[in-house]
Amino acid sequence: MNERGPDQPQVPTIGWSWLVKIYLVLALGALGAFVAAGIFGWEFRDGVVDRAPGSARQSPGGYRTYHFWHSGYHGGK
Amino acid sequence: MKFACPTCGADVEFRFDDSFVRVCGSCQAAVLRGDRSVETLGKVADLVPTGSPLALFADGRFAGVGFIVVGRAQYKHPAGGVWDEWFAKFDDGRWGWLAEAQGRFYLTFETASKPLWWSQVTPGATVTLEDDGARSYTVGERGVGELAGAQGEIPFRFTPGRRFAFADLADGRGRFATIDFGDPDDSGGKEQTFYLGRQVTLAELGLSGGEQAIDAAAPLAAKRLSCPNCGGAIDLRAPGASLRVVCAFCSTMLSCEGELAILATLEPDPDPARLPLGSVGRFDDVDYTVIGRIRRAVRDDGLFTWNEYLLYAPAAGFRWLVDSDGHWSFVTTLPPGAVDANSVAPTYDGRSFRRYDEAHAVVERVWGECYWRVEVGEVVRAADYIAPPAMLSIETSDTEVNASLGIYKTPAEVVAAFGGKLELPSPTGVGAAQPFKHKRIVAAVGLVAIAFVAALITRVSLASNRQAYQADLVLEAPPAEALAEAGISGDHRLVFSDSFELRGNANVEIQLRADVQNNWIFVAGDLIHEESGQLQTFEQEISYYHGYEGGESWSEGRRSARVYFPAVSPGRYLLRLEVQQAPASNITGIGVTVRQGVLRGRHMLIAGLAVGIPSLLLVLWYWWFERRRWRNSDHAPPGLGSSE
Repeated sequence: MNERGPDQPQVPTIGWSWLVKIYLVLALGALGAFVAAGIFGWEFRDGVVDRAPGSARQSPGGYRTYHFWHSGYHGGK
Repeated sequence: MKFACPTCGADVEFRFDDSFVRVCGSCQAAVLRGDRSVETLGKVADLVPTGSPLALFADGRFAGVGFIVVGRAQYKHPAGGVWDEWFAKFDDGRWGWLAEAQGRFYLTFETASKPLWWSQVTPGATVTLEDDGARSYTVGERGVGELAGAQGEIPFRFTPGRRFAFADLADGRGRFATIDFGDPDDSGGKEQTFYLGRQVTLAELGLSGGEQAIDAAAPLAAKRLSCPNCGGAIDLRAPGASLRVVCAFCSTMLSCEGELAILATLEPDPDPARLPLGSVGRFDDVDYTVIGRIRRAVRDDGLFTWNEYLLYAPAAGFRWLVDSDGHWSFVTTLPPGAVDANSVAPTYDGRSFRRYDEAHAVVERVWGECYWRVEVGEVVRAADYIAPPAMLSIETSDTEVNASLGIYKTPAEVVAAFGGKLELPSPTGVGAAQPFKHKRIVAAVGLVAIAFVAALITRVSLASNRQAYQADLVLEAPPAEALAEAGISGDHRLVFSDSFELRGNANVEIQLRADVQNNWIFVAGDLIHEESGQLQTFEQEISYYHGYEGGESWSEGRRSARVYFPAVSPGRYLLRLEVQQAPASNITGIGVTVRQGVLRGRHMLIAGLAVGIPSLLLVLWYWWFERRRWRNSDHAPPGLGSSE
């Protein structure tokens, strides 16, 4: 305890500024998202993009993926 | 008990059996009561009006015991001016001594204590007094006072003109003591009386009544005088407390100890005041009047000047508002013992202060009033210590050590305190005690760093890295008629994996491996949920080139690649892979590994950057601010000083 006389001034303490509060919220939020990604298996990629016909396995040449038709990839160096 | 005054015959009444002296209300004689008769000790001087808010016969309570103020004595101070002591008779029979100096009040009681030698009580020395157990006190000042005026009933033998040696001490936490060493010519002071107590406020004493109404919040009433040099009007705003005043018309410095007396004529100085004399500002719920101004200077590498505005309120005493390059501080003098003046890092109010600067400060110019015998050219050695927004200043002269605490004020705060009537310039640079508003960023970054480590540990512990499927698959060419029907040429092969199980709430990693040597394959794949037929597609190139050129081996690419998916619905899945490859590559197989709950370095990198970059920028901002603060100091902490 810091005893003081009746008119001895108190040294003010610097509180948590709005900027620091915002920083804390955002930084801890980002870290929370990082942990949540581990808990829920989040990734930077879309989920389900299509639905394959039930006959896909029985007719291997009859079904083509999206990329097969649209990638235009011709590979190589 | 009533007696006739030996001097004038008027009735003199002693209300209390243990009072010694009663000042005759008619002739101002100090009447001493003996066993059976009275005698006069001489005529007391007229009381110097000090604007005291106290009054005779006021009553109050202290520590639950009632009292009445029955007497008052006025003493001449060795440094000039006077101070008052009021005598309170308590209901329990004790006498309390209520000393009043510069707006502060100290209530003490006569107490037995271990004797001290006069040589022990030098200013700044620490001694032990018997005050509710042994307690350490610091000597604030010592000197020789003189009994001057008095009124009412006095609990000791008050002989007008008698001189006495005294020492004032304090523990820096509100406790106060005075030692009366008696006759100063009696070397060493055999006769010692100790008065111990503490600093009090009028509100705490609950004073009321008396010969005149007590109004601690009464506005300051100036005493108008005439300059003996030019005849100009001088408003003395702290009569009884001010010892010097400078005429605003002819710049003559006058003594206010008694009648105004010319001391010196100062050079006219057009330096305009940012706070006009007589203006009123409100700080800590007290209205202070600006009564004086002192400009000080330090000559070091160059000339550095600043202005100190003297504020006064009768019930609170003196304060200072210091203006240094547009940075303001509200300064309060601290009692002895509040700070260890000899410490390298003094502490106050639980805060440690860091040395900032020390210099010999010279009084360059004085305007208005001052409560000591100030002189132009007066020098004090000043050392400043900071714990923003506070600055501790310790001024040392040949005769005393004074500590004061300044609290930083922005110009806007000062303007607001003066009712918005001022216009103040913006400050220059960073002030010594200017707080960095976002100082907590250091603690916040530390907190975030700890949270980051905790998050990493959590992520590592969450990573099950479960292998759901692994196989080396043989690539099969689709039926030629199907390719022809689709109009596709080239080497396209297709393969399905076996069925495998994936769980929920875990990411999915698909690792593809192919034995490519200076060529490539391109995989277009689907991760298919068998039950629903939902699929997620991906495309991935695998290429690897290597060789030997210019005497050095080189390589480019990898023989494997990884694809990641977010968590999927739990169930059984299979992979469908369509592979393009360069003509004549003849890659006939592809290795596949499917894992879940995989730790992702990319996530760590993103999280690290997301919190690290703003943290770094904020800490750099703080560092830059502190570096500017310490630019003018020779005691900058490592990393914050100038590089010269």
